[in-house]
Amino acid sequence: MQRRDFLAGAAAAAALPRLAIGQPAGSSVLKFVPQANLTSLDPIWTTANVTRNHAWLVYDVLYGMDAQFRPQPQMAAGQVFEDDDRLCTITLREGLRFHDGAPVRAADCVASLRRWMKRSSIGQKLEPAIEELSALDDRRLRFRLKRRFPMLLQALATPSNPAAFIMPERIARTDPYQQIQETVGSGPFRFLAREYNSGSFVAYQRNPDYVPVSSGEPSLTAGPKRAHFDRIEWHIIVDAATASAALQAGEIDWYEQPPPEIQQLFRRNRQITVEPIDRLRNPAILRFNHLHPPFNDKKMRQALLPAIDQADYMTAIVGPDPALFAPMGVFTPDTPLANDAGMGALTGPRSIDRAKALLKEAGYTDQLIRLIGPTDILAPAAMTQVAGDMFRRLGVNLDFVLTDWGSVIQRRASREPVEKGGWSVFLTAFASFEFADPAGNFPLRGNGTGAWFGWPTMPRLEELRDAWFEAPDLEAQQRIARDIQRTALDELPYIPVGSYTSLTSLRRDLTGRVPGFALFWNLRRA
Amino acid sequence: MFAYVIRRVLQTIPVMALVALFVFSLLYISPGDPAAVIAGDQATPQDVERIRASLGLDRPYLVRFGTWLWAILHGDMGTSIFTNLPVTTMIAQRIEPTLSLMALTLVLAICIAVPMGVVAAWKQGTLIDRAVMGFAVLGFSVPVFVVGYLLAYVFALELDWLPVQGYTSLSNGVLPWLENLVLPAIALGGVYIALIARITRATMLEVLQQDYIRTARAKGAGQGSILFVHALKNAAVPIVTVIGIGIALLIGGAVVTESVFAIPGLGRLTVDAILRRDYPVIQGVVLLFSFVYVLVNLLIDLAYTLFDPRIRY
Repeated sequence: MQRRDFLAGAAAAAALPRLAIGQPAGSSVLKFVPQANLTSLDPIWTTANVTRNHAWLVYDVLYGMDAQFRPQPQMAAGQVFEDDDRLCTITLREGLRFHDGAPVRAADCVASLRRWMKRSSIGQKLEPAIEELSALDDRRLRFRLKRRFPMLLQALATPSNPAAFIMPERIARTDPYQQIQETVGSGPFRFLAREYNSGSFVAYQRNPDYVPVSSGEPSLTAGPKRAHFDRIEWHIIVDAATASAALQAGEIDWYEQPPPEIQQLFRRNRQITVEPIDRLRNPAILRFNHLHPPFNDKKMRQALLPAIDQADYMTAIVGPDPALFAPMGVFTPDTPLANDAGMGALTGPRSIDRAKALLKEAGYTDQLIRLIGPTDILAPAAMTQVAGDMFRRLGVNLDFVLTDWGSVIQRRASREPVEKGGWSVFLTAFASFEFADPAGNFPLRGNGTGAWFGWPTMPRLEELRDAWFEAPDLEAQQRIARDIQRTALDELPYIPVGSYTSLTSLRRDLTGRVPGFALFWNLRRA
Repeated sequence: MFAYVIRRVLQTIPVMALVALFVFSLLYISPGDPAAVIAGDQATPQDVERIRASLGLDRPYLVRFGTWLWAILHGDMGTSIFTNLPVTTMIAQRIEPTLSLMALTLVLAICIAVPMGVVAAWKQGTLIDRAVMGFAVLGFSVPVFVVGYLLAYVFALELDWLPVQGYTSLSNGVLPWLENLVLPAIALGGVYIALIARITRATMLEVLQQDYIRTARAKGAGQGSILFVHALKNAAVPIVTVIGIGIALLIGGAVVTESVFAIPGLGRLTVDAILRRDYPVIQGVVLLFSFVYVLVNLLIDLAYTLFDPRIRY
């Protein structure tokens, strides 16, 4: 071979387009880049959102929650309430099977619900109301309640972490504080344990035995769950630029959480759609430490209100497009309990000077304020920078601690005063449905040291929460929700700093995605 | 020689013990709590405490260290706090991509850098020499991730010649394996090529001044023979030393390269474990890296005898 021939051949070979790397049209494999690595497979043991998304592929629930926050039967064929609603018998649909071939029995549901109740905030509310939870036979389970619990079906349908996933009894008997050893569900996809490589790759196979509910439309976690892909692959790509390039090159189909700067790039690509992952917005909060000065004093907390401009915090997360954020109180906007009670404190004129004057009036005398925040999680990192700037402009004695998320969540657990390494303030964000009601809105709790990090003691909020659980209908719930918001914006267990739309990016040939979070049923290739 | 090897292998035991103590202590005092990561945002402090207790993280330092050391001595590196998988299984899942990346980088770097250094020394002061040294400066100066992104942009996105990311096992064929590894190996190899090329050039310049080179020329040896047979062999000891030291560079660089090209290797495993405070995995991987480094140094020491018969152990 002549040297010239060789060079010509090499150049021609190099110019050939690469084969078999992109998805072929009509491929029955969906390639997805999740928001984070799937480190744990137990959705009860950990409340990580990525594990939740994994769990909705593999497991099923007795009741799903539709987008209007109404529980709808999933594994349940129906329910009968008797004895003034203190007796509830749930019958399972016929033909339900776990992925190992075993039939789903009522005993499996009872064991699963018992484990779930230990870890779920609404489950912890339900558990003391139960006198007996038992399997009547293979297809019927019964709740015998000590008192009426109007939220029973809402609790079983909660999409908040952890959801009431049904597992085989032998697995569900695991201590709720220990991780399960097997992943066997009855959901629309089977987990392929042999292919699982944490930090790199997760695979699921369509469950051919899965029978979707026969009626309704897919809506959040309710409705028929039709699997259109034979196989779903999760490719863990932590680097945003790499994931972005992979989506553009067609190596993957769906990138769950691209950062805002990458979204701009995708908007210019005709093969990619950028759309809200949820029709609702994610709430974000500034949380106080209520155990120590200065924010153990209500007047100090209130003094910050005029300095909080929710638009500043949201712009830092999603950019300046006002369509991507909205003001909020303590409930997610556009949900049934969202209201405007007490919102003047957040929507009135903003003024740093006014806040300074209120701080002085409240007796602020240069006490140390420690703001802790991460640099590696988008929304909290962006908001922490805005809060840091706000505190600097207020002229307070600020210790601004930036670290990784792993250190933040350890440090926020410290109940020590700031002089001994404790903290004063941190900021974080939540999934939309978690703030849709008082059951999921755990930072709203005012039960002191039993409350979420920050540990506020606010008996009035606890009373109102209890009353909400007992409310007989939506109208009564909405009335109580107004009281809760008014009280919360006065007592300030936290300050809401806005709500924002989280965007996701998919190849344009994918259709039928169910809004909410990364849900894989109904999704298909056009 | 054999006694030397045995002695050196035995010397690794106290080194590894020190590394183990250091790694364990460092993790113990570093901030972060896997129980809090596991429990997630909704957990109450009581939940976090219960998880911490169930993982044994509430036990005293000495008890935890003793338990871990005892297990290590029995060949048990422990179980990942998060995935519940044995650390050895996780390492086994990840070792092939990292070894592949390092091996290919090593081969590429040596094949490119040594001839570059030799030619630069031969053509000292010429444009070629300056070009090689310029490349070396560039290789040292440009971070691995910048090179990685540039390569991915040009060769994967724009030209569509190679995949952007991922890894295909060697068992699926050499070509797919190479297809996924070429760009990462070039990105990772940049600094390594620069290092080897510079040391080769410097050593060759010294060797080329020696009397025996003049003698070789006088007896009519060809330029290639002089450079690659007479000179390079005598310049090999420092070059081999640098290649050995550079293994540490490769390990560090692999962490970044694996992130940029989404290669499921030990580097990514280490970073993920550190971010989540998955102590058994961090300890296992660091111990493994230390062992590899000690082993490579031993092999380098032994390789000296091949290039310089005067060296005896």
